[in-house]
Amino acid sequence: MRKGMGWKVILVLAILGVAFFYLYTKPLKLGLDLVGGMHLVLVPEITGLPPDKSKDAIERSLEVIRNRVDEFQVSEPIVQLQGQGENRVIVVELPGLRDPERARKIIGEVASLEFKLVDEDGLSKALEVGPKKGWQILKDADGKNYLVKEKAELTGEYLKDAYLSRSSESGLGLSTVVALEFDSIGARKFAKVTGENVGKQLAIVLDGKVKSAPKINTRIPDGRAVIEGSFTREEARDLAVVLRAGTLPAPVKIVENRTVGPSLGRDSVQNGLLAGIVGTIIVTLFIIAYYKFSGVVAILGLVWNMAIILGVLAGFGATLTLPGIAGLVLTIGMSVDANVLIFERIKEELRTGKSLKGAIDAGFKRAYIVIFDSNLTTLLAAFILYQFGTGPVRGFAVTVSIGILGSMFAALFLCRLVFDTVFYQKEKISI
Amino acid sequence: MKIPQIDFIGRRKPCLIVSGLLMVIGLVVFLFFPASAKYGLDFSGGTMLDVKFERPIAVKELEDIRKGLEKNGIKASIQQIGKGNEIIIKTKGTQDEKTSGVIKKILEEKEKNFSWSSTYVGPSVSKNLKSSALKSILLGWICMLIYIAFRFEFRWAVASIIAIIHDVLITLGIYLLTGREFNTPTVAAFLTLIGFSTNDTIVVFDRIRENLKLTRKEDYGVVINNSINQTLTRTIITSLTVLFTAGALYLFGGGEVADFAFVMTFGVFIGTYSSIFVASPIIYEWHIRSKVK
Repeated sequence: MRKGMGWKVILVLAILGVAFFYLYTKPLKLGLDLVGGMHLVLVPEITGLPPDKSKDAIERSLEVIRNRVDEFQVSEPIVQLQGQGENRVIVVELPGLRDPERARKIIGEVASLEFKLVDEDGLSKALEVGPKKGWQILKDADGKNYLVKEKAELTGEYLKDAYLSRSSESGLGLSTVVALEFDSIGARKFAKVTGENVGKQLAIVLDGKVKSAPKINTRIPDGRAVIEGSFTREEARDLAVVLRAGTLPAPVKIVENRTVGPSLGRDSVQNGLLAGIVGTIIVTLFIIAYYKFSGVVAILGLVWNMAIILGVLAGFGATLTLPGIAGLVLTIGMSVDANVLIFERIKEELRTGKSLKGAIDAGFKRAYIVIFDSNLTTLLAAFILYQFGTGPVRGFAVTVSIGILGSMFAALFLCRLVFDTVFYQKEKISI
Repeated sequence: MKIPQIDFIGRRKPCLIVSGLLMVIGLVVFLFFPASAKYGLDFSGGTMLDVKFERPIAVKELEDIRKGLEKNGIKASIQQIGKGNEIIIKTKGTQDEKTSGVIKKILEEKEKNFSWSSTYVGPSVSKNLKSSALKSILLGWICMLIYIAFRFEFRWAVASIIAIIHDVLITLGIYLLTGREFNTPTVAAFLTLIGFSTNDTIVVFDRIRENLKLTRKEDYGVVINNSINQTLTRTIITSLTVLFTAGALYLFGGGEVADFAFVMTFGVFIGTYSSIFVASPIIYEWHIRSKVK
């Protein structure tokens, strides 16, 4: 080995070490398309709202949805705003989610909770000639009609807590209910309403539907109430979740929903791996058959590059997606190019009668420019793709970009190092 | 191995004519293909369910599913792929987001065990995706033009742009004629193809530039021929390695990955061809003609 080469060897090993360190300490994050999960894009429907309310509707929706998502207990959920101005949307990503239907319901429910006074006697007349001014007819889940005041006595705004509970008040043994607890202002209001209307019915209205309409037996001073109804445990739990998280300022519309079941994602990983392995084997055999020992060096560079790509992805916490895997496999094919350019050039230089050392020197030097020029175009394309792309496609752009940079580095540095070491003071080259 | 001595420039005319014709065909196919057959879910909007059962689905069962969908007012296309155990159900246009839930219930009546993925793309999203896809392809062309004009010269940049437009149009034509649809991964594939094809062209151009400096006296056509021949081995080997990996992705990747790999597999052929038979002849023709004037 020549002098001054020691640090190069150390650098090569150090880079490999860092790559493995990151891969070991920060395992690669897999995208939704691989682990399964849900990707939702939501837009609040603010067209009907007064301007003062619609102004920050999207921020408030984001906050409420974030609270709701926290209840799912998936690892690393994403809830964020994307886009600008009028085109802003809320993006929700829930990796590894088990029950997407339920998640969609919980996220999308407005959950506006209102307490409204019921007029039992006026109902039949209202059904005939229409409700009197300031009153309206609402239905419950079974289609039963209620005549209620339009103005709510109390809303979910004053809610402090909501949780699943059991109640024996219905007289039919224990039934599942949602227990509500108001804050101090809410409790005062609730006490006033119940105190003034003993004997009347108070309807609990959720998103315009009557949930239950219990009779007020006595003034309730402690700000506690329950929502009864024929809940399953799960329904009651979900209702408690959305009530706790707060009311959405407007209904949200789902404009995009990409959900992948966990097993299909696993299949994709396996298919991608298989393609990668087959591709690598063929490329390896081909390059070694054609370039002999130099081919082995090129493949060494390829393996080194792969370690760098995966290490960088892990280090930056980037996500590996299905297109990302495709990019990785494609990189295997594209990244040998730098080596091919160098090897062909060395062969040409040898043909002109140069010494081996001279040919290697000239080969690397001349190939350097063209490797730079030609790889930059692919890098440029990947950059544009990153700008344009959404999630998975961005994963592809990132993987390809790192792969190209890594391959240039591998060919010009690692390959050079091996050549300088092995063919130093030799007269023949296996290329 | 000896350097080949093929006269590429001498054969430029038939190649340019054939390429020109194929480009026109590609463009015509792209323009006149019905939108419903051209755009996948990402660009047309709608719902797609990809369902993989543990056992093959019989024709009769498929018919039942179809009827079940119709009964629920869902107009869908059903496609059976894989070993008969995977079906793809698609509805296009302004379907409601809840459609996939309805479809899943219908399927569950048939068979409980399946793995699945569902996608819904609303009309506003698909419109956005479409315009940004078009923008990115155009931007790709412009960036390549500027880069090559900067590194080489303007005429060469134009020649290489014609070459990549050629690659994109012809691959596009084949892609559509084999019954494939555009989705966002397809756009990714086409942009990668633009990058790869330019990469190939630049390697040839770089050699032409080098040789022009070395041999000023020689005929322009001879220099181009020599340059292509000198880089031919590299061109073939690199194209082959890309072809191997793209081919592996095409065979084993499945679904959208296969569509993506299809573009790359065909594109590699056409991109390699175009840097030799389109880009280089164009700079030759341009050189000759500007000299005559």
